[in-house]
This record gives sequence, C-alpha cells and structure tokens, in this order.
Amino acid sequence: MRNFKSLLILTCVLIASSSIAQENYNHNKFKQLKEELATPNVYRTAAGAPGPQYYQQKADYVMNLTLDDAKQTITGEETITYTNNSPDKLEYLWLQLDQNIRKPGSAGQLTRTSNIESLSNPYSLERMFKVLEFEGGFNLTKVTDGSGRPVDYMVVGTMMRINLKTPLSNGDKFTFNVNWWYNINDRMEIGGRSGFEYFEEEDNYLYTIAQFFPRMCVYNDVEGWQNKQFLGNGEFTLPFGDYDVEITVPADHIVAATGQLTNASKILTTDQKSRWEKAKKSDEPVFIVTPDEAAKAEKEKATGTRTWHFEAENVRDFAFASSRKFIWDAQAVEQETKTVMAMSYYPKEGNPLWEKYSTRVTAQTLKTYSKHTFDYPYPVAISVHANYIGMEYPMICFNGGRPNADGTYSERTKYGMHSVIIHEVGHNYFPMIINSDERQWTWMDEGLNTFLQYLTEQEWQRNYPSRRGPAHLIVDYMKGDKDNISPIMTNSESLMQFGNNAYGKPATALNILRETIIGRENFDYAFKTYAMRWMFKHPTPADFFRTMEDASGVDLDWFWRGWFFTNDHCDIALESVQWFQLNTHDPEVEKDWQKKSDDAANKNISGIRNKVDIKRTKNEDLPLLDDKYNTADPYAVSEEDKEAYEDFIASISDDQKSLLGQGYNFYQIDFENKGGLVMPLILRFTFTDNTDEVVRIPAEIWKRNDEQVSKVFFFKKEVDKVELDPFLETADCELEDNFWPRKKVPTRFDIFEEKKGKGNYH
Amino acid sequence: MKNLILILSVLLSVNSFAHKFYISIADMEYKASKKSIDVTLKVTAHDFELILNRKFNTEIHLEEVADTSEVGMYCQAYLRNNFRVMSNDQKLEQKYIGKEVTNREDLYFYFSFVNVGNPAHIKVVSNLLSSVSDLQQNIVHYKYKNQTKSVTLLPSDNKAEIKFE
Repeated sequence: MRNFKSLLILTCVLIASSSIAQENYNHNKFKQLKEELATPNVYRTAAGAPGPQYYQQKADYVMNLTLDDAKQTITGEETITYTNNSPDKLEYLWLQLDQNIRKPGSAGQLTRTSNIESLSNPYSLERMFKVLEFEGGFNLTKVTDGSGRPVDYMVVGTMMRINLKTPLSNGDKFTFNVNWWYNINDRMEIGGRSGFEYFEEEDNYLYTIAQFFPRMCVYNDVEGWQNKQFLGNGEFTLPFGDYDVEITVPADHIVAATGQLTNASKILTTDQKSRWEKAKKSDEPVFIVTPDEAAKAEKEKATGTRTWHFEAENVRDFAFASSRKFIWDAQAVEQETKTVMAMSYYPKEGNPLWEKYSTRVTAQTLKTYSKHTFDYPYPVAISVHANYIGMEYPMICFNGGRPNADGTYSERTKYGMHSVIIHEVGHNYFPMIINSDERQWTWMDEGLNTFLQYLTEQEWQRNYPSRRGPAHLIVDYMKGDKDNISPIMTNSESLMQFGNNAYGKPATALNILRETIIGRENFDYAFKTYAMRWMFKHPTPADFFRTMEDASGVDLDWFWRGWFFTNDHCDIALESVQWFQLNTHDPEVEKDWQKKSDDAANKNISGIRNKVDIKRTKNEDLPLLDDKYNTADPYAVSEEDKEAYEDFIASISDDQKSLLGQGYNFYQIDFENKGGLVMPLILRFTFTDNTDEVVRIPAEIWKRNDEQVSKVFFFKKEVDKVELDPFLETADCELEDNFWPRKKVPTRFDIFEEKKGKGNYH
Repeated sequence: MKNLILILSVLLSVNSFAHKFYISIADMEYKASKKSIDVTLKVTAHDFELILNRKFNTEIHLEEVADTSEVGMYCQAYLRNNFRVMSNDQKLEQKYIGKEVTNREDLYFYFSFVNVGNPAHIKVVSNLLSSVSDLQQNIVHYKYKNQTKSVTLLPSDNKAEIKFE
C-alpha cells in the first residue's frame, strides 16, 4: 500500500509537469503565428488589409453646449444619428459615459489597488478628501428619439444601452437625443485627462474639456460592441462621423476645438481676422490673439456669452479648450496634397516656452508623420497648454511643460514639453485616424506613435535626448526578473509598467525592425502601407503584424512572437572563438609554420631553467654520442616529404589547388542565447592590421537550435578581436560577453566614480 | 473599515495618468576589493520631485539641489530609510556618493553598502516611491562574481532575498 501511494504521487507529479511544459509540443521560436492570430476572413485579409466585405459604422453628432464659468459645469443637448453599415441586425446600441468614472464608487475607483504609505503625507490626505467630495459623472436629463418620444435605456457603469423598439438592419439609421450636464473636475486638485485649472490670483479658469458627452461605442467584426467598462487605463475607440457643435462660453473666452471654426467672421475682431489671413500664408507662427489682448481679457472679465460654431468631418471624437487667458498663434504647414494650419493656445504662464516652440514643434510633427504615413487630412492641428498632462483628441491635444514663474526653465522642462507636444499631436495619426482599439491594446497607438515621435525628435534637433526608440535604452526594462513584466500583447488594464510596456518596448521593436531586421527603405514602405490601408478604419494587431510582413517580404512571425507575445530579452554571448588555418600539405609551408608555432608556444619551467643551470650536457661534451635522431633538423624538408606532397597535389583539382594557396584564416565562433529572444548576429571583426569588417547574420541562424549555434568565418587577414552587436542595435542586455577577447564594460557607477575622482567619499 | 478601503482606492485612481512610469532600477554589484556593494539607482526624476515638493511644500527642481543643502541631505536620508540591504542579519551602512539628472527624466543616485559580511546572501528592502503610486515597481539587479540575479519589489511585497550558491 505504501508503495502504491508513492507511485500515485509520482504519477501526479509527472502529469502536472508534462501539462505545464507540453514537452511534445512545437516550441520552435520560428513557428508561425497561426494559433495566436485570428483566421483571415472577408473582413480582414491574410495580407493584413481590409477585406472585400470590411464595414464600419457611422455616428454623426449635432451638439449644443454651454460652459458655465461661474459654477464650472457643462451642459449639452446632443442629437446622434447612427448608421448601421454592418450586415448584422442590432437590437440595442451602446454608448460610453466616460465621465462616470468620477462617480463615487465607480468600478474604476474600486478596482484600483492601494497601500497605506500613499496616505502618509498631508498632500495625499487632502487630495483624497477632495476626490470623495467631488460630485462627478453624467446627469442625464432627457433621452428621446427623433420625434421626441422617450427612449428606453439603461446605464451600466461607464456604459449606456439604448433598447431599440425595432432592430436596426443593414443600412438603417437611428436618430436620438441625449441631454446631460456634469460638474467639471479641478485637474490640479483631483487630476484627470480633462477638467479645469484655476488661477487663484486673478480668479480665472482654463478649461480643457474631453470625453465629455455620451459617445457611440464601436461595433465591428472583431468585438461586436466594444463596451468594456472604462477602468481608467484603456482609453477608447469610437466610430467615425461628422460633428456640428455650437459652444456657448463667456463672451471674452477664446475656444480651441476639434474641427473648423465656421463663424470666425462673427467672433474675431477685424485685426484678428487679418492676422488669421496672414497666418494662412505664413510658415512661421503669427499671433491671432496677441499676448496683450489676452492680458486685457484676463483683467477686464467681460460679462455675457458668445457662441462658437465648429464643424468637423470624419473624426472619431470631439474635444475643446476654453479660457479668457488664451494667447493664440498659427502657421501654415504645406503638404503635397493640402495646406493645413498648426496652432497653439496657451496662457501667459506657458511663456517664453510656448510662443517660441509649440506651433513650430506641431508643424514639424505633421511633416515627419505625414512622410511616414499620409498627408495630414484635417484642416487644423492644435496644441493647447494644460499644466502637467499630455492627452490627445482629434485635431486637438492638451500638453504640459510650464516654465518657472520667473520665466526660467530647465533643459528637462524644455525637452519634456517638446516631446509631449510631438507625442500628442502625433496621436492624430494613431489612433485618431488609424483608429485602433485602445480599450483593448494600448500599444497599437502608443507604441506606433512613440516610434514616430522618436523619428520626429531626431529630425527636429540633432542628438535630441529621446527617451525611447534606440535599442539600448530599453535594456534596463527588459533584463532580469520577469515576474512583474507583462508581454506587450496584454490588455490595457492588466499591463504592468505602462510606460515601458506599451510605449517604450513596442517603439523600440519597430526601430529595430527599421534599422536592423527589415532595413530603412523596405520598412518605411511597409509601415506606410499599413497607415494607408487603415487610414480612417479600425485595425487590429493581426492587421499590423500581417501588413508589415506581407509588404516587406520578411518573415516576422518570430519577431512578433518574441517581442510582442513573450517577456524574453536579448542576451547573446560570444562563448568561444577558435582559429584554424588550412593544412596545405606543402612541407615547405607546413614545416615552417610548425617551427614558428613551436617557437611561439610557451615553454615549461624546467626547460627554461635548465637552459641556464645546466651549462653543458654529457652529449654536448661527447659528440660521439650523436646519431641521426638527435642531430636531424625536425623542421627540415626531406625527400619523402616532397614525394608525399607531389602525390597529394596530383590527387586534387586545380580549383582546390588555388584555394590552398590563398592562406585563409578560419574562425569557429560559438554563440549562446542566454536571454531567450532570438535576434540577428551582428559581428565586427577587427584584424591585426587594424582594419575591420562587419558581418550581419539574420536571426534565422537560430531556426533549429535557439540556445547554441556555431559558425565558421574566414578571412585572409588575421583577426585580432571580435565584437557582437557593435552598434547597440539588438537590445542585448549583457555586453561583457559580447567581446572576444573579453572586455570590461564600464558600468554607470564606474563612470560616475571616475568623474568624481576616486576615493573622495571614503 | 469599508469606507477606508474606498478612500484609499479613490485617492489613487485620479493620479495615474499624469505620467506612466512608476519604476526604479537598482543596478548593484559586489566589489570584492572594497568589500562593498556599489549601487546605481535610476528613478523617474518627476516622481522624486513630487516627494520633495510635498515634503518641503514648494516646487523643487533637482538640477538645483546641492548634495550639501537641506533638500540634498533629505534625499540622502530618504535613500537610507527606503532602500536597505541586510547581510548576515546586519543592516549594512549606506554611503552616499552622488546624484545626476538627465534630460530623459532619469534621476541617478550613486551609493555603496560597505563592510558586507556575506555578499553571496543578501536581503533587500525597498519602499522607494511607494508613497507616489501603488503601481510602483522597484527592480533590483545584483551582480556577484559575474552572475546577475534580479528581483522586483512592490509596495505590497517590499523585501526579497538574493542568494548565490
């Protein structure tokens, strides 16, 4: 019985371990991604393009908004016309109510983890109570159909379902009205992607308003309704549509919004109108509202209201900013197909940084991004200054980067401001136009956008201190303990280390594809193809993976698998180098080589000492002891040697003969993959004459064995040293084993210690 | 108690998208010649400034903080209190060397743990920046005789042992 028991345990253990390791399964790192990616179909092709029956829904909005500056509330009357282009019959419609995340007790708030340390300072305590006191979230005052009859609906957290009386068939439209209002949050006190900043000394507000109205969810062939609750991280995706929006604000407010201002003739002064005309022809920023005009408005505080009218076509959302503090400048950006306006709105607190850089950086962003995707299709691209944050909406984004009160600013503030503007303006392309699903995949917009942000930064200023992009900058994140790193292909809400995971790593991966795996020209073609194919559409990760591979002609399944589906890091070691030369069989050559290598070899200690200590040997004193064995020169070429060589030469072909004479050096190099990620081998051989040669071997060298490979390299010259990844392009996490002979790589600590001068801290 | 849980979670929900890093990386290496563990600690400059701003109730720019100033001394005390290494059950003395801020928002601190009794077996405790975010991850890489082992410490799980055979 006892034996039986232990047998049973043993069996259990075996079953358990085999089910985890799946030993008989194909674990090859080059296995195609058929199991991970959805099967191609009529909506999405195997090449990564929209299929012949691809469809998408449309949602058009007419809105009347009122901003109450005294109470900090916003009220809206909204009419939505929803068009069902899907082949499916829809019994209900879903809208998202993002403001409801600020309702006390929302799922977003309840599901955040926390620890007591974060309350250990008065600042946090105060902030906490302000959050609790805030009465946020939508108040719905009316939901009716086109003819004014109440519509049956249900609010589910941050989502709202419209229960249709008759289902909506393909081609049908449904028009309905939603009236609502909510309290605007103080961003400085309780945070938020949108809200207001209050300037206490002068009693003025600066509003950045977004995710502010009930918005239609996406319905498509991938998710059905994308109605996953808004928990705070996974932002959103929305159907495209046209917007007609009237915004009523205090009479002296300046409004920046998604779309084109259609009543500029009523709103702007004569001077402002002529400056606007001038800006349209200028490739440098021109003030529309000058700093003086803004300063005057700030002080005088007009009474009454004014209505601004905006129209936007084919956008997936609408946002705006409003304040009497705004300075407004604009410049034209000429593109091949159309000229558009880059504009900035900022309070005086943003200067001198903002008037100097914001619009110019916005213009540069459009230029670089358009080169890699398509001409910017919208009429305006706006950068609004809102302290601390960076958040994007179609045509408009809210960006931090504020100088000190005395107008000075650090280098870090300057580049932080530049980077956030490039990043948020860049979001116009990903995900506003190439409309990926942020609630599902953060990396699809953040990663691709951060990649183009890097290219823009480098075109803006030589050696710009980009935080992300170059391979070596991601090493710190990827190496080491994997317990708290998630693969890129993880839902937005479950990501750990959001910034590195969804921004840094995918951006780096794309840069590696561009520089190392595919090459710049071919990569740019494939990337542009993806952008053109999915412009104004809803792509999935598979569409991106497939397009990049299909258009470039490079099998990338191993790369997506390693970089996007696993946590593996790159650590390839140059384990050993062995040197060989061909045996020419020519006794003249070989005996000479033998003599040289014997002379060069280390001698044993007794031999060395005896040479001095033993003045004369017996044999040296008595030559009659000599015979042919101790007098013959071991390196001399004998007649037998010559005959053997002649026989050998007679037996080989002329080509083989000439190869023997060329004096090649052969080097067998053994590589070990310690990190798991398969990557190309980039080798620089430096020869004894100080010249060098770079050899690039594709990652497929690991196709049969992803742990150890060996390869022989040959050169006429003699190799002095070998380096692996000499241009820091594979994100190799351990550099010390990349050198033969081994080389000590200084750590940051050593470098700093050297800078400070050794020993002065003991 | 129920209310307190709600309070804690609400507090953090609003602060999470100001920026998205919440990570520190400590690269530690044992130097046999000095019997010390050298540490290069990288944290997000902005987060560390947040701690200083709250402590001193004014906006502080790390570029302007001298090591000998009041704020500089506080930084050193913060490191001593929030990043500790034990060996043979003894808390190791931390010797501060210096700091550096880069344009990439990285703040580097350099310090050493001296008189290490048993470098092959240490215990690390890190509460770095856990008062800023519950999502903070403190990663520690420890290199000993050409081998490196790594651990990740979280606000909820702030200690780990690292042992070499």
